[in-house]
Amino acid sequence: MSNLEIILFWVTIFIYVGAFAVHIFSFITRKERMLKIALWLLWTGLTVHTAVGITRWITGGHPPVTDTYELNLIGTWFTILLFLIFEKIKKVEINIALAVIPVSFLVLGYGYLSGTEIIPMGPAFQSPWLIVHVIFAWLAFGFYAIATGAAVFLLMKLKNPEGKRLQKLPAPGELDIAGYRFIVLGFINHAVMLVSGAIWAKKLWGHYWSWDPLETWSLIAFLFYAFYLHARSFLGWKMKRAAWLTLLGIVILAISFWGVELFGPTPHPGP
Amino acid sequence: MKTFLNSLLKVLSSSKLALTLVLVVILISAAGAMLPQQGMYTAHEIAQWQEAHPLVTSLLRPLGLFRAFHSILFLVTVSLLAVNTLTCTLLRMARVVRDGGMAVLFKGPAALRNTGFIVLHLSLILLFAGGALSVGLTMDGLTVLTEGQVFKEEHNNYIRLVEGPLRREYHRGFMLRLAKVRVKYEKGYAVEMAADVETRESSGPVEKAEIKINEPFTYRGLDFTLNDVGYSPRVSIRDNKSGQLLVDSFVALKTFRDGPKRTYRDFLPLPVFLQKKQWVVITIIPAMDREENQPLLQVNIEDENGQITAKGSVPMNGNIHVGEYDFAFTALRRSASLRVMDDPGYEIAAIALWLTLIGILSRYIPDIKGWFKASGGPPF
Repeated sequence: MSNLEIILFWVTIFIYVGAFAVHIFSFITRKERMLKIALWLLWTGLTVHTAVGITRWITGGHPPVTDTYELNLIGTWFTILLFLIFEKIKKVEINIALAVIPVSFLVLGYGYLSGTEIIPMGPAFQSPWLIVHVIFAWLAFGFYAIATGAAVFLLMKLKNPEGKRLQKLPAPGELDIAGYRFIVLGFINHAVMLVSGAIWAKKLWGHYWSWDPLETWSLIAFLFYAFYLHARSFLGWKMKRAAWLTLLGIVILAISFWGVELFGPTPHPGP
Repeated sequence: MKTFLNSLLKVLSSSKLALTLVLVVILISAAGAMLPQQGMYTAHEIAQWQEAHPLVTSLLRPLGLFRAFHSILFLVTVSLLAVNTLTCTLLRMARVVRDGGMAVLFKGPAALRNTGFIVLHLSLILLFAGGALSVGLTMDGLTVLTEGQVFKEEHNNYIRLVEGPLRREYHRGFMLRLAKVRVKYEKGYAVEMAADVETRESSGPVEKAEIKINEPFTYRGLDFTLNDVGYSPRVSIRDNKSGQLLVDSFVALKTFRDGPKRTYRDFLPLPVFLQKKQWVVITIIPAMDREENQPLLQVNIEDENGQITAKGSVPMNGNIHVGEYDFAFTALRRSASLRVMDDPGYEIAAIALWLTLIGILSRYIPDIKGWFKASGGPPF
């Protein structure tokens, strides 16, 4: 990790923390103007975050997608970018940032703690499928994370419909629809990630599916979201049930991203 | 009879059954991902785990969950899910056609969604079929070769060979010679690995090829992928009392990596040692800078409990006396481990995977377009 990258990384962290602090202050005091500052800070944080990624890419000589730190750096970049794009086109409730920023912050911190040494890109990573696989994995994560934010607020609103601080949030039905739509987007990206991974695995290991723990957890998460979509369509599981399923989904997804090695070794490197 | 068939069809195509089966697949997969699985762990490791977790073992072993993805429970659930998907899709197709004719699938506002739904679910059936072919007919072999060594494609020449239960054993019998292994390191990490090989039939010209990680070589329907590279020292072992030559061959060592550090080691499971309940562990040390210029061979003789009873190290072209044996280290070559696969289900599965993607996109893109176009409504 170069000195420039260290400085940019910590500046990014401080800006995100600042954006979260201002946002939560605005949420509690219901001061609209502070929201704009929080949003501006988030865009600034993303710009510096981009600079961290570019610096890492130049210093390492390869796209930053080979170890936990690099993958988490890119993953949080995608998550914040997705949120800000959808906020810009007025397609997401701005307060969902209160869930997205802490998740991104935790992921970044976990990546940093797992080691920041630049490692040369091993032969296994030298495949055009790497970029497709990683980008779509993180796009899926970003969409699912935003859906989780909507689910959290939905549950809060259902628990306390008259809560003063929650009055600015959309109606529960709207949060429910928003969550569903982001899950659909995550599901599509998740499918691309799985398909690209299977094709890459055939080239790399000789077999497109080996049931190694990481790919199994990724399939479990995919099946779980398929379950969500079917339960919603055919059994009418919406609102509270759908929100709880969304929360469980992100836990399964988090295991597939970061928790697989808790249960044993895997030949499949993940974030 | 007709009523029974109708009821059966209704049950088999029900969405509740689909959801239940998906949940069961999720639970079995979670067990398969958390429990040590046969094939991934040694029998000894599994036994150790089971000893440490007696309650879980007593509950889950009868269900076959230590071989979860080959268990009867898993196979029956997935088969039922395939039947459910097929009946559900066919009934939906029939309903759509009955209500609006075949044109509904290709025309009108819901055409893409309907087609997407059907393509998605039929592609899942195709995926089940591809997966079943892979499980039933795959040949998955492993061989480790030293530079200059020739491998004849026959059953006994594989270190490990797993074949699907429906596969009729068939080997091509051609020769594959490992000509050269090339590795490039940066900061102690491998950044390039390649194996130059030559294939030859019993008569006929030699075909040369390069196998790299991510770039398999396909010959007569078999895919050769490069798993890893390592070292093979040539070791001669004599009984120092009788002078009898026990071993004189290249010994391909496994590569162990810990960050930028590497060691290469393995043991010689020769009958003469096993009779005496001894293991001879051969290691090349140190991993980093001596291996090419000043390779050093370390020999440990261990008893059945893994205790070292004698040890020593010897540079190349040297001899050493360890325990009851004389060891000579006379040459060092590179080795490569190659996975050899024949998977008749892959093409079908690959087509199914692409169709699944097309189906998902067709099913949801009309909805997504609508969400983006909508203004003033609920948030996205």
